[in-house]
Amino acid sequence: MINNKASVLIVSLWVLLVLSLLAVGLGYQASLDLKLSKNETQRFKAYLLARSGVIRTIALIDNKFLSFAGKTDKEIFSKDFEDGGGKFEIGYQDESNNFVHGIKPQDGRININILSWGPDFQMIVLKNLFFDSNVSDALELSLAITQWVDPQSVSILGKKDNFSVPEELIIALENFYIEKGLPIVDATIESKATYKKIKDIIRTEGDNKIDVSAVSPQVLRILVASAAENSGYDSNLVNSLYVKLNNLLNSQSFKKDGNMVISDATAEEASVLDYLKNNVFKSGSDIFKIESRAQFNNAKRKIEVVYNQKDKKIAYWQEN
Amino acid sequence: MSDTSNKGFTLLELLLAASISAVIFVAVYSSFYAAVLNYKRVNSRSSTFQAGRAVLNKISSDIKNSFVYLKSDSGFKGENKSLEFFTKIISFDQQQEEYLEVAKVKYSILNQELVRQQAKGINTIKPESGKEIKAIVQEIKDLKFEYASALPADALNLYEWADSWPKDDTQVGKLPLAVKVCLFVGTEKQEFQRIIPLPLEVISDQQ
Repeated sequence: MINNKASVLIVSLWVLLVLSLLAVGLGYQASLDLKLSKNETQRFKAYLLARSGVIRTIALIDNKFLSFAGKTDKEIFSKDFEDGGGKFEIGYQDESNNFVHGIKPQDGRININILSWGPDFQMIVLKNLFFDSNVSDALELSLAITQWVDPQSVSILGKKDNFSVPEELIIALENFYIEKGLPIVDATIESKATYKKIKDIIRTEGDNKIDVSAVSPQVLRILVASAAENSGYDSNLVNSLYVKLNNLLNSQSFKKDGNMVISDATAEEASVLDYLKNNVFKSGSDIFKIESRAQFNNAKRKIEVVYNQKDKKIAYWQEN
Repeated sequence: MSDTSNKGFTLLELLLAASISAVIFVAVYSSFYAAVLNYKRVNSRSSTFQAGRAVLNKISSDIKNSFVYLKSDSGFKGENKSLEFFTKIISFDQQQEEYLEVAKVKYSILNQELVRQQAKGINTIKPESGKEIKAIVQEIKDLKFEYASALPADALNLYEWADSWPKDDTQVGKLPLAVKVCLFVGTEKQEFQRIIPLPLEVISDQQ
């Protein structure tokens, strides 16, 4: 009689086991759903933070930073909402790959839509841009790109209009490598490799002038070489003028008054410098790249924007 | 003293025990069945919501990253049931490094499935070749697009919705202010709606 009573315990344990398994399964499923939903919410909040960073920076650019006089770049270009409210930071990677708070003027880059320079100078600049970036077939490439955007071009393929975004250049490059005889797979790889080499020194927005205070050493070298070549001078002049001009742009006197005078310039160097001053250089930037990175708990979002301050227009928007 | 433990059950006892067990079993099973049904319904609804949200996120990101391809023709061609436009997408090179490239993307419904067609690289301007077609979510049974355009300053409203883009020549080289996307998901045709503003247009039209 006593032995028979133990069956109640065994049945109860079995029932308990089945119920526990059910509960664990349901709990696991519910926690997965909860995690998904939480991730989604956090990603959306991070996106809103990144977007607010962009909007705030545009307001800052339009007001020319007047209300932020005396504050550090970090104070101006970042906002940390304490107690788990997330944060956003506006900045970019410098040459040493360090994160720097601020915005980068794009007018120091070469506009690949430089039709107003005229086809000859455009081709020379493009050729030197590829050549200086260690891209082979620089001359043929510059010709192909010029034809790609030329409205009068007779080729079947081609945009026959300005590039809208820099990434479009990959298509023109791919077409060039296919026409050169490369299989499509290799042409795709080659076009991406070429684009990667030049993407940090080109732009498609704004006018064709280069802001001297925002110009990089590589772009300066390309422009000096192009202006010298356009005037028929050789590479010796390019090297000496580049060194002198680079020293001038980094000097305190230029940063103070912006006066571009090289006292020890030869007659040829002076003529090339005059060409650059009259046709290529300008002072001040209208195009700014805003990179807004936001974090909300574990979720991170980034928005890249190119803002044209002159036209008060967002010219480029990329969110991930 | 007689050993009562060897005694059997009477028929009445057996019938009574069987009836009580049957009642308990039916009650337990029906509540278990109801719980399973409920769980399945909630689970299906949850996956419907997840699918709807994921698809809307993808469409939203593609639309927001779009751009005007040509001033004479933006390349943004919107109908009530399909939408085609130029955008920028993230790809990976041979070293698995990510980079941006231009793509032409088209959303439409094909055989009751939401389909995203994508042409990259040189195929972007040769739309008839090399298009990757991907059915992104089978549960999506239908979709609907609407396009917002700005109204003149003296109009009562700031914008109006239309079933197509471009509606006239003035819109050919432009992007709409926003796109309204309606998805109908699952057999119950659960509706999901999102209004996606286009950053390039919204800000410039606020000037």
